[in-house]
Parts: sequence; C-alpha cells; structure tokens
Amino acid sequence: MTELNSNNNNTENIENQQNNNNNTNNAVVFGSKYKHNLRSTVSIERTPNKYSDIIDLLLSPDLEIVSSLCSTTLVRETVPNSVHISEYLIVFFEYHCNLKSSYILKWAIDKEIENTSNSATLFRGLSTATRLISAFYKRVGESYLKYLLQPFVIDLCSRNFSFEIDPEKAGKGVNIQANLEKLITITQQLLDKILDSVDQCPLPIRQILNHTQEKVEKRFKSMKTTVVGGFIFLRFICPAIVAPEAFGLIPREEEPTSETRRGLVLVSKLLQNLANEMPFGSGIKEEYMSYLNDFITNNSTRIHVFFDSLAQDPTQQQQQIQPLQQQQQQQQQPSSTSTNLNATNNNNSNCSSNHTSSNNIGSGVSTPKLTSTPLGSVQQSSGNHNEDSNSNNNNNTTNTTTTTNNNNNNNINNNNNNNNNNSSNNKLNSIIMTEDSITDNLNVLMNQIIENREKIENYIQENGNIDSSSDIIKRLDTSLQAAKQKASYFNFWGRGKDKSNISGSGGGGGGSSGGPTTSNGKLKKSPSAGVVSNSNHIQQLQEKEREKEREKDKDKEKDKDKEKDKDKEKHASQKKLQLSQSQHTLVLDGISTNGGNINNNSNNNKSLLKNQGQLSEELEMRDQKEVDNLNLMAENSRLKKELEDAKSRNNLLRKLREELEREKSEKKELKLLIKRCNDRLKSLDDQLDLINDLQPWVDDNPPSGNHDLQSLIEETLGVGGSLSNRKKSNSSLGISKVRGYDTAPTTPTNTILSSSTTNIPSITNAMINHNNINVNICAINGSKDTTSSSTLISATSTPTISIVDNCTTATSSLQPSPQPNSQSVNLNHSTNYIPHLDVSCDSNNSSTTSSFYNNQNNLNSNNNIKKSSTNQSISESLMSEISEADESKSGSNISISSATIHSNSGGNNNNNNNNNNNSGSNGKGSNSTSGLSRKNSTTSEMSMADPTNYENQNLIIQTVVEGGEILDDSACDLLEFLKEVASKQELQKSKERQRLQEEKENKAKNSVFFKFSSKFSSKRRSKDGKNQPLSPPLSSQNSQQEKDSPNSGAALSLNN
Amino acid sequence: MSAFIYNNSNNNNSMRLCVMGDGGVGKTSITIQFISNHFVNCYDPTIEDLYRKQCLIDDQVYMLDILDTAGQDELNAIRNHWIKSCEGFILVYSVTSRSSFDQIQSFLDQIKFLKSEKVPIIMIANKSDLDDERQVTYQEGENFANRFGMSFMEVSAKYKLNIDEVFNQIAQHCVKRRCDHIYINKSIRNKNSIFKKFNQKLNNTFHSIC
Repeated sequence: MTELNSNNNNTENIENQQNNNNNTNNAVVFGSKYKHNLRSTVSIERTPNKYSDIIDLLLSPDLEIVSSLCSTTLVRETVPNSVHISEYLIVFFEYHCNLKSSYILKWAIDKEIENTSNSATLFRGLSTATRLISAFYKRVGESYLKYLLQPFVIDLCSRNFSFEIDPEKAGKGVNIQANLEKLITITQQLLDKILDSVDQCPLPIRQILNHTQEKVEKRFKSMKTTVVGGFIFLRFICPAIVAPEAFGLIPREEEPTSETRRGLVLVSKLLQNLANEMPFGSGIKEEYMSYLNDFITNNSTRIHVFFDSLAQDPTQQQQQIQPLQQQQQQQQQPSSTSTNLNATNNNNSNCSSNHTSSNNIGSGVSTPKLTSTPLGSVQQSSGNHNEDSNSNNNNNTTNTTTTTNNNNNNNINNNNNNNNNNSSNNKLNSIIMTEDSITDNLNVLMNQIIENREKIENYIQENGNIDSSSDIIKRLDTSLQAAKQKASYFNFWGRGKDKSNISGSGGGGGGSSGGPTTSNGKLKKSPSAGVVSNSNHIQQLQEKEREKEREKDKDKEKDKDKEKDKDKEKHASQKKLQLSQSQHTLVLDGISTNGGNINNNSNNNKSLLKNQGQLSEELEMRDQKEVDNLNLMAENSRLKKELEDAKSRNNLLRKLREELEREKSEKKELKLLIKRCNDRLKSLDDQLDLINDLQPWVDDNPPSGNHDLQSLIEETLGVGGSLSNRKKSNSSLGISKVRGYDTAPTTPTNTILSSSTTNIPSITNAMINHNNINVNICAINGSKDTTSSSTLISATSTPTISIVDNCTTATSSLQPSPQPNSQSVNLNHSTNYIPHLDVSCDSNNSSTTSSFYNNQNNLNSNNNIKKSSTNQSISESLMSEISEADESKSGSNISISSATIHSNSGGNNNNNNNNNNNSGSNGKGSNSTSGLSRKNSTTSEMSMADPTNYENQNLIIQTVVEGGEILDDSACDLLEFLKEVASKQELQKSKERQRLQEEKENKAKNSVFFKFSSKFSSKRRSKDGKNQPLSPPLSSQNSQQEKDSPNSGAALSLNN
Repeated sequence: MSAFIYNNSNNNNSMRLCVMGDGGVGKTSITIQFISNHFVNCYDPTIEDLYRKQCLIDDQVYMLDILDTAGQDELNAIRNHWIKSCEGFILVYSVTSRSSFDQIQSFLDQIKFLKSEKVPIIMIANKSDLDDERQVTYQEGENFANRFGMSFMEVSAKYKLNIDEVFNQIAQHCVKRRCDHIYINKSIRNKNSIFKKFNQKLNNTFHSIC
C-alpha cells in the first residue's frame, strides 16, 4: 500500500509540476477559482463528497485553521509519546493539495521570517516552521541520511577507543595528540562524502532550501549561507550523528557507549562550527577545541560551494538555459577538476599543517613537560647551589672579613705592644737615669761628709792637747785610708768625667796641687803645634791619635786623683806639726781648696781641647793602669778574706747556739729523770713506813697471847682432870663405832688437820710459841687449835666495828645455819641411840637389829648429801665476805665455827662441849647463836651423859650474860636474836614431830621414842627459864679483851 | 580571562549541573558570563559543551561541572542522557519568547519522568533588559515556579545581573540534598540490618525445629 501510494505520489508530483507552470502563467487569477485549483484531482475523485467541505476549509488560502492548530499543539508535541499533528498535516497536504507539502512549508517559513527581529535567533527556537521542517525531513530524507551516515556510525560504534580531547577529562596516560589526529581523519572522511552527495539529495529538500535562501536574502543578507547550514547540519545531520538510534541508523537496542557517544558529539560539534563559520577560540567556548580551527579554515571554501549547489533548483536551471546545456556541462567539468585540485592541495596542506601542528603541539606539550621537571629541578638545585654557594661565599667573606679584622686587630695589638714596649723601654731608661743620679748624689754626699770630718778634726787639733795629738793622728790616718778605699771604689765603678772632677774637688789641697797640672798642660801644647804643621794625610792619623789621647786623658785624671791623695797626707802632717796656727789659716785652706777645684776644671777643659801623642807617655800610662789593677785586685782579695772570716764566725756562732740548745735539752731530760727517781724513792719510803708501822703489832702480840692461852689451859685442866679421861674414853668409843659402821665421819677429821696446817705458816715468830702450845693441845684435843686462833683474831679488832660486823655476819650466817644444825641433831640422835639399841636388840631379837642398821645407813647417806650442799653454800659466802675488808674478820670466824659444827656433828661429844664453852665466852651475837644451837644439841647428849655436864652448861650461860651487861646497846640485839632463835626452835620441833609421827606410823611397836621426846621438851623449857636471872663474873671481861687480840693478828696476816 | 583550575576532584567535592532551555534563550551566554565574566555577541549553536569552575560553598570548596545543552528539539533524544548524569538543573527561558516559557513544562515533565527522587531545580528568565520586547511578565514566571516548588529569578547575561547568585543557590541546594540523602541512606541501612537479623533468627528457629 505504501509503495503504491509513493508511486502515485511520484506521478502526481510530475503532474503538479506541470500545473504549477500553468499557475505561474495564470497568476492573476485568485478567488474561488484559485481555491478550486489548490485541490488535487485525486482527492476530488477518490474522497467522498461529505469531506469536501472540511478539506476546502483546511486548504483555504490564508490557512487560518492550520495556524491555530499548530499554535495550540506546538509545545505539547515536545513531550515524548505524544500526538504529532505536524506530521499529519504534511501527509494531508501531500495528498489533498496540488502543491503538496511545499505549500505549507513555504507559508510557515515566510511567517517565521516576518516575525523574527533578531537575525541571530532565526530558525533557532521552537516554532511551527522548525517543527514542520523536522517532520518533513524525517519523511523525505530518511534514505539520504542512511546513505551518508550509516556506514560511519556503524564503523565508529564497532571500535572501542576514545576520542577524548579535553585534558581535564582525559587521564594522564592518554595521548591527546593521537586523539586529535583520529578525530580529524574521521570527520574529514565524513565531510568528503557529504560534499560529494549533492546529486543524491532529494529535490523537495533542495526546493525548500532555495525558497528560504531567497526570502532570507531579502531581509538578512548576511545570513544567506548560515541559514542553509543550520537547516542541513543543525536540524538534519548532526542530530542523526549524536542520536543514531532515534533516526533508525542503528537498532534502538544497541545504544552506543559513553565513549563512542562522546566521539560522535565531538564530530558533530566540529561539523556544526564548520557550517556556522565560527572558529573555536579562547574565551568563547571550550579552549581545548582551538586545536581544530585549522580544519575549519581549510574546509570553509568547500562548504560554501556545497551550500550554493544545494540551494540551486536544478529544474529551473534546465528550463531557463536549455540551449546552453553544452556550455554548462563544460563549466561543470572544470569546476569539478578545480575542486579535485583544491582537494588535493587541501589534503597536502592539511597533511603539512597536521605535521606542523603535531610538531608544534608536540613541542608545545612535550617541551614544557620536559623543561618543567628538569628546569624546576635544575632551578631548585641551582637555587640550592646558589644559596649554598652564596652562604659559603658569605661564610668565606665573613671568614675573610673576620680574618682581616683579626689581622687588623693583630696589627693594632702589635702596634700597641710596640708602644707598650717603647713605653717600657722609656721607663727602663728613666729608671737607669734615676739610678745614675742616685749614684752621683751618693758620691756627692760622701765627699761632703769627708770634708766635714776633716774640718771637725782640725778644730779638735787646735783645741786639744799635745798628748792626744797622737791619737788624733791615728784616727785621721784610718779615716784617710777609708776615704781612699771609697774613692778607689768610686773610680773603679765611675763612668763619666764629672765624677772624677767631683773626687778631685773633694781632694783639693793648696796652691801647690794646681802647679803640676799647669805644667802638664804646657807639655801637652808643644806636640800639638807640631802635628798641625804636617800635611792632610797626617790629619787622619791625628784623628786616631785624638781618640787615643782622650782615653789617655781619662787615665791621667786617675793619676791626678792619686797625687791629690798624697797631697792630703802632706797637709795633714803639716797641720799636725803646726798646732799653733790660727783660724785664719783654716779659712785660707778652705779658699785654696775652692780655688783648686776651679783650676782642675779649667785644666780638664784645656786637656780636652789640646791633644798630645807620645808612645812613651802611652807606655807609662799602661804600666800605671796595670799597677792600679793589681792594687784593686789585692783589695778585692782582702775584702773576700774578710767576708770569709765573717762567714766562719757566723758558722761558729751557729754551732755554739746549737750546742747550747742541746745542753738545755739534756738538762731538761736529766731533771725529768731526777723527778722520776724522787717519786720512786717517795714510794719506797712510804712502803718502808708501812713496814715500820707493821712491826710494833708483831712485838705487842706474843706476851698477851701466851698469857691467855695459859689461863685457858689452866682453867680447863683445873676444872676437871677426870673429864679429860672421860672425854678420851668417849672419843675412843665414837671413833671405834664410826670406823666399824660408817666411813662418813672420817672426813671432818681430815678437815681439821688441813685447817691446822694452813694456820701454821701464817703466824709470826711470836706466835710460834703459841703454836707449840697449841701443838701440845692438839696432841690431846685437835679442836682447841681452831678456837685459840679465833680468839686471837677477835681480840685485835675494835669493839664497835666488831659488833656491827658480827651482827651482819650473824644474820647472814643464820640463814644457812639451820640446815647443818638439823643435820647435826639427827646425827647425834642416831649415834647416841645406837649402843643401847644394839644391846637390847642383840639380847632379844636379831630381826630388829637388821632393820635399825638399814635405817641408819639411809640416814647417813642423806646426811652426807646435805653436808656437801652446805659446804658449797658456805664457801660461796666466804668468798663474798672476804672481798669486803671490814667484814672479812667476822667471816673467818663464822667459817671456822661452822666448820667446827660440822666436824663436831660426827659424834665427838666432848669436843662439842669445849667448843661451846669457848664460843660462849666470846660474848658476841654470832657466837651466842651458835652456842645456843650447840646447847640444844648438847642437851640431847647430856641426857645420856653424866650429871657433871650440867655444871659446864651453867658456866656457858654465865659467860653469855656477862657479855650482855658490858655492852648495853648489844643487849637489845641479843634479845631480838633470842626471840628469833626461839621461833626457829619451834620450827625445828614441828619438823621433828612430823618425822617422829612418820616413824611412829612405820614403827608403832617401839615405845622408847615417845619417852625420849617427852624428856627433850621438858629439859629445854627449864633451860630457858634459868638463863634470865644469872649474873656475869668480872674475870670473863678480861678474857674477852684478851680474845680480841688474835682476831687482829689474823687480820694483819690476811693483809700481809 | 580565567584559567581552568585542574584539580583531582573527588565525587564528594564535585557536582554536575545542567543548563536547559529552548534554543536561542541565552544558555551559553549565561554560563560563559559565570565562567569568564564576559558577554558573547556572536551566535553559535551548541551541541553539548562542558564547563568547569571552582567555587566556595559553606566554607568548603566544590568543583562545578556545568553542562551546556542544545535547545533544538531534534536533539531531544540525547537529552535523556544529560538528565540522568546531572544532579542539579537550571531551566532557562527568555522574556521575549512565549514559546520558550511554554516549553519549560516539557522540560519539567521529562526531568520528573527520569528522576525518581526530587532534585533541586531553579527557573530563571533571561534577557530581562529587553523590556520593550517582553512577552512574559515577572508575575507569570513567579507563579509558575511556586506552583512546581522551584525558586525563580530574573537575570541578564548581558549586564551580569544575578548570574552568580543563580549558580550559588543551585549549588547550595545540591549540597543540602546530598547531606539529606546521606542521612536517609543511613536510616535505610539500619532498617535493612534489622530485617536481616530478624530473618537470621527465623532461619535459626527453622533449622532448630527441623
């Protein structure tokens, strides 16, 4: 159907063209005829009559209805998927209108041109004309676009590479130059194809372009070509390139990628700018597109030719110029050839321009990159180097400046140093000058002093006696010698002439001294006159001689000094002889001396002016010099000797001083030794005094001791010879019993022997007699020795001290004493009861005896243990007491008494009785207490013994009472001790009762023990009552005094 | 003269704006006035041009990529790509052309059709200096803009009237939208995470039962 319609349209078109020609010829006709003529024959014949009115309305000459429709639907057509009325209108006019769509298009274009005021916006915005034209292109030009663009687009889409030219979009790795080249090549290819496609373009399009160009040329002459370009490229070609899927060039499903689309956009932009004759430039649009301006300039001429050829209507040309067809053909041929040539030239130029542009671009692009990095780095490095070098140079310059400054400073310092040195030299010079001046002044002073002395001496000579003149002369000689020496020293150390003058003036004498000097001057004058007369050669010799003469002059001056000294001596001798001279002479001498000085000065001046020169004089002067030197050396040697002597003397003095110091030190040492000897002697004397003090005690002791012992012996022997016999029997019985049954009692006998042996060596010569007596007694009764010694010791001590000591010792002794007393009691009981029991047991029962023997053995063993313990305690007490000097005496007594107690406890009843008597007679508390304890023990023995023992007990009690009366103060103490003893006795009784009860429980059968216990208690009570009323005898007092002496002896022995 | 500043801009610091409107209303002249500070008298149809400028917004530097588009209806097919790639739109019409004002509606419809979310859009009227040829009044433009929730402004590219304000305003709107968009995404992610946890629990219970 469509094909048939298109064929019909083609045929109709041809017919319409013919009709158009007629119409143009018949332009004058308008009105109904014209209307009737616009309608096509086909539409009249085929369409039904009922639509003819509508068609006639739409086909009205002014097209009012069409314009209103377009205006209302213009905007809405832009919405996608909407009704496009413009397309339907074109279809309608092509079918029903004789002129077809060109009629409506021309109408719209004319209207657009009339309404537009600004040429720039012509056919740019949305309008009916632009809208109808675009619809017309889609219907008519579809095949033309496919012919032009479809191969290009398909080829470009198949490739997958980018044409990005913008450096901001492209990455760093992309080569923009390559992309530019690609872009230009493909666009050039496309452009060539488009420009050669004039004949393939449909005629209706070309007719409309012709119409628009004619109309625009009338109103806007400048827009002639741009309008055509706008219609062809902006509205037809470029949109197809940018969106090929919308124009059916490629399937809609296959949309191009972003990269390919970017490439298509760039191509379209390039073609659009070419058509619009607008180059890419800076400040207008994208700057990176400016590289493509060469393409535009190269192709601008060809594009104009293309537009002109399109705008021409080929049909009109053929009709108008039918006879000139041949000419036209000829013209076309050279134009085509010319275009071909231009194309080739353009290609060449393009290639060259491309190369140049590529070179330029490459150089422009690469050079800044290449130069930027190395130049930057070089600049940086150079900057660094420059900075470093500058800094180094600055450092160097600073160093150099510092060095120069240092050098300058050094120079300045050197100058300063030089100045300092100069100043120091000046100072030294000044110091030297000062020294010289000092020496000169000293010389002057010395000379003045000498003069004054001489004057004083002269006065003394005048006033003094002749006798003293000799002394004065000697003194003057000595002074002169001293002056000479001083003068010689000054001459020797002198330097200038002035000094010699001064010395000369000092030694100035009378007029005679001036004479020889003048004579010497005369002699000097004559040789000088002779010399002057000689020639010039001699003058040189004269100068030399003058120098020599000057030296000689100095020597002469020295000689003059000596002469002056001699003159002085003469004057002195004269003065001495002429004591009678008056003061006027002295005054004249002074004047003469002054005159001499003046003469000397004048002579010296003359000598300087006048010159003399003789060898003889020179030799003489030399000899004199030598002599002078020798003299000086001699003097020096003398002085040295004197110094040595002085040194030796000093050394001697030092030695003497050292010797003195040594002697002093020795004396001190001796004194110390003497003091020490004296101290030793004093100590020895003290010892001797002590020894002497000891002697009278020794002398005093023997007679008293002898008397006491004798009295004691007599008393004991007188009292009872029978007792002695009985004692012996008792002792023999005791010993036999002990030896037979127990070994323990033997130990106390040994102790007695040891004590006696110890006592013997300590006694003095006087005591030996006493010992002899004691020895005799010991042969009888060993116990007496100890008692005798105790009595002696007690006698020596003072009564007050002894009392106090005894009390203290008694208290101490009481504590350990109860135990041995109890022991002794037990032992005594056992020993005393044995014989009776033995007799009874032997006679009656043997079994009982065995039991008693066993009990006795147990008791003895217990007693032995107790003794050992008590002995230890006693020994400790003794050591403590011996350390104390005052208490040592009483301690010894106690120890002896305690020893005796233990020894007596063995079974010697008689010995106990004797000891008790002796101890009671002492009258001391300690002895009394021991005596009482012994009494208790003896009471047990008395029960068994004979009645004679009762008398002994009474005697003991008397002695105790006598002691109390003598010492009233001690009586109270005794009473206290008695109370204490009573309390202890009660304790002992309680203990005894306990033991007895134990024995009773064990042995209830024996009734004998009960009897004995009752007897003991009754006897003790009776004794306590008896003690109180008794009175002591006077004889006992003497015995007490005698007894004190052995105590003192014992003390001395201990001290010794 | 102004030189392009070449910076390696991140997506966060660069935004893409699109200038759309009928042909011949002055789209290119407005952008060049903003970029280069001068007016272009010559007319050169635009196919697709991209300009770039750096500007300071809320004490932060942003790179603006401005896409200058073709106004001709024949290039309507490529317009879809432009709209998809941009996040801000400047719709331009000329006070001297009624058709250009009427055509704004079609641009809005196309943007809304392609953009699922609301995007910042600003409408401006160019050539305000040509009062003699005025065909559209200020009030008409303002009413139209308010109806569709757009901001409105009359400008003049020739005399550079309100040119900078247009671009700054559209940029600020883009920044604000971007921040809001981030917040919304976070909330959506949280919701998604909650649903995931719930699903995990259900799966665990299901497996335990089996």
